[in-house]
Amino acid sequence: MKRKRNKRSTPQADQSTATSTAAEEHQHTHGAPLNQADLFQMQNSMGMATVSQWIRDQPENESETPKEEVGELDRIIDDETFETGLVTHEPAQEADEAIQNSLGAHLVDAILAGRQITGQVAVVGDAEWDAAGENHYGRSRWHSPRGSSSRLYRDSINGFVDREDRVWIHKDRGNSGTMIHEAIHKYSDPTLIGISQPLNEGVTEFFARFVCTNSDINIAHRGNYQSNFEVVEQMAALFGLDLVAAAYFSGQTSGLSAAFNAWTTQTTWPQFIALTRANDWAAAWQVLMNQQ
Amino acid sequence: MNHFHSVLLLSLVCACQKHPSELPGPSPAPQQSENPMQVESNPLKPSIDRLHSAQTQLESGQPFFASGGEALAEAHFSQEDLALELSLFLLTDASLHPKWVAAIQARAWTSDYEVRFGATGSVLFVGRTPKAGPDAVVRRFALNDLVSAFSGEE
Repeated sequence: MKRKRNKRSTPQADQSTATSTAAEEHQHTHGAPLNQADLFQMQNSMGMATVSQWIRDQPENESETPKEEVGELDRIIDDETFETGLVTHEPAQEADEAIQNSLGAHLVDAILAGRQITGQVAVVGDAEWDAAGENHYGRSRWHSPRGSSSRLYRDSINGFVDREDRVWIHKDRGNSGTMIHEAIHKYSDPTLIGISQPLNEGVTEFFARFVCTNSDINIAHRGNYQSNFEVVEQMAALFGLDLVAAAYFSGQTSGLSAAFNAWTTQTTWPQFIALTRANDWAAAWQVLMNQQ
Repeated sequence: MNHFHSVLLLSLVCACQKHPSELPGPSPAPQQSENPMQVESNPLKPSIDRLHSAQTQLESGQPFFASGGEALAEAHFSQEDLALELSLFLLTDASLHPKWVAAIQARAWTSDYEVRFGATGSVLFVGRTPKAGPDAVVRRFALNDLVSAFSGEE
């Protein structure tokens, strides 16, 4: 069954916008630029629901892509394009099944909200990859070096969710866990990504590896978001997988923050979050390992 | 092109010269190591560009895992101050990644090292740093940053 995408109205679309944050180098692969420091302040003062509504009300970035090309992107997705390449990516339907089989109890809200990756993803080659990337990031940015490095945006990414909630995966990049990682994003609630995008990636990777392991998908060669993953793995060991899942899939972050604050008085939850937002994973790790 | 990138490109050329007859494609491996234009066409260059974003000071290194000539191309790097060693291997098929990982994990030395693997397309990343010693956490997460940068964002 193919489900219709809800343009700019789904939680994933909100998430995509909130994802894009302060520093260009930290620009996430799932949305357009937004000042996360402002967002974090707003969240503290207004509450996440209000912030989510504010995000929803923001105008879309002006696309540099002609309308007929945007229509072509829809067609690529609607055709469930799945090009064969260097990587054997997991079929979308099998990714949904694996996720729901492994994490079903945590996905009630997500499934009721119609979240899934089937019918919303294309595995593509260079031409479609560039068309989708230029549409989402802008043509000049997509073909520009990223930060101080020589690598281009188009070459540093294996897959991304665009602002229309479409998922694009390059046929020759990534590995056997890439489709599962992107699919996990589709089931997430936007709350955690508004708190810390790097932590959100760590949780996404944690559940992606959890699902792969439960589904006999060999990911021994996977190193994506390794630091983020190891910190989240330790969080799950300390506070329980259920609290991490509630924060990620249902937006119930209060349980996780309460467990953290009950566990230590030496570091506050906002201080820990700040470390993750700064990608200071060694320090975040030491907080989790050293404190009683 | 900064110093870091220059070192990486030179390292790549040196690595390619180890197995010139096994490189893919109609062109032979670069024979003039100082000509970066020849390096530009090497299939490992995109992977090295990804490592560049990890902001480490990698230099040319020695392999700590012998490929036995089974890789189409390979490159080896190290960073002495962090005791980091890493290798990139271009394999004939991405489906070979698990086999290579299992072969490396079977080595006795792996119990003394933090070992990280990464893969994108047909290229495999293998990196290690000793578990013991000062700054072990810093070294471990520096290695993590490298494998993450190589693996790419999703």
